[in-house]
Amino acid sequence: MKTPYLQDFRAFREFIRSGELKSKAEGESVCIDLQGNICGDILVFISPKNRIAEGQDIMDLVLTDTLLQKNAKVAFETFRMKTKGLALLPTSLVWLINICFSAVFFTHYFELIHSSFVQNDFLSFIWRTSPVLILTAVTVFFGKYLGINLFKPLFAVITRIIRIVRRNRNRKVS
Amino acid sequence: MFGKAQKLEEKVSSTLYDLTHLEINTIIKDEMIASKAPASPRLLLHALATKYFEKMWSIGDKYYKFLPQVDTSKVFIFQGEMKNKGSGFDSFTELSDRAEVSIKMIKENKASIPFTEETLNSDIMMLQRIHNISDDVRRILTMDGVDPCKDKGVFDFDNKQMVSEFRNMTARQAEKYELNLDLRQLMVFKKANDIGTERVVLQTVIGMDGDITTRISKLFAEQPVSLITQMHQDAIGISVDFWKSLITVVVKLGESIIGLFNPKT
Repeated sequence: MKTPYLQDFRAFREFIRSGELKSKAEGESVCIDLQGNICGDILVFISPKNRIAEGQDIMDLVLTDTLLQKNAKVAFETFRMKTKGLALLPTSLVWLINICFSAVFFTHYFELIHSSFVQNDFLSFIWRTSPVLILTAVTVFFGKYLGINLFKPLFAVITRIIRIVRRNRNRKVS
Repeated sequence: MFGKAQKLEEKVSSTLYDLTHLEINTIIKDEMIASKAPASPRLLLHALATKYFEKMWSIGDKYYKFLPQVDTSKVFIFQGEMKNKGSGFDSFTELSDRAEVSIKMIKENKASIPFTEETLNSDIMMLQRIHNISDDVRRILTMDGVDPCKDKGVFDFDNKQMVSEFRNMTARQAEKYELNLDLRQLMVFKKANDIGTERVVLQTVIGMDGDITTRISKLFAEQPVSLITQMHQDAIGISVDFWKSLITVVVKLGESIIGLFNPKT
């Protein structure tokens, strides 16, 4: 289970420090600089690595640079990953807001939850609600990685039941 | 009271524009990138003003022989030497005005200028950029609370010598003269400085309403380089993907808020 969070965090830190995301590719004679901001605007700079000789055009350098295409591909891929990491900021904000909403709900329904604890034995309450709690925890932690596959066993059981029901209802006539 | 409402409205509309529009630029720099952009907004503005001043000078140098001179000065920026060589409000006003007058002069004397239509248009576009961005900078500088040195008695940023003095100040000393910018205003300055006076060969603007505009410079359109076009396409892909993820987050937030008021039972 590989987590890209470290990379996300690095991109986030780069953005906080410089206000933008950057990526660079160097060819034999040409440099490519990528710059992106929080709004999604991107600047692609193509510049010569060294001073251009009189009468020479940078387009000719781009065309003859054999390393540039390969390195530019890597730079673009890195930049793509960084922008993905940048989405961590708004996602975290939504997460925080959701936590706030949960807190509001919890305080609102506190009396109800509290009475459930008080009226029943604490251990039996935990025991009774544990399947739901475990399923929730599993969904939260693994849902992102397994997605819809999480429900595969459940789907398998349902399909099996449907088959059995169908077999019993539609018995062979011959 | 109305001023505050207007300021808020301006901020909201500009933020909305930023969030609903994407801009991808592919720029060719003829010279290698020598140094990093300064972190101080004041010095960032000064770097921008210097670039514009140098470009105006070089364009003036190119055209002065073919244009009627209004003064005998040997500095060829169409109207003689600049009065303000710093990077304050007056410096950008002067840059903007001179660029505007220069465009007019080139257009009026087209017949006597022996350059191709392409060169003329390219230079006019550059002067137009200088004029527009200078006006944007001026507009930001006049906003409430942005410039603590509106009164030149405090510190004159239109004076080049004073800017040099500011550059040598310690961070603590410089703090009280520094511009108070929000993130968006800083982004405008940074982008202006990054693009500077370089050639934008490809520009794509994508609006949330579905409008996509791509501008291609004539020179590039005549001799396109597939690698550059491909890189521009890749940048568009990255930008759109990033936008999608931002929109998804906003939708999720909306769902959470709606869910709060309409809980599923």
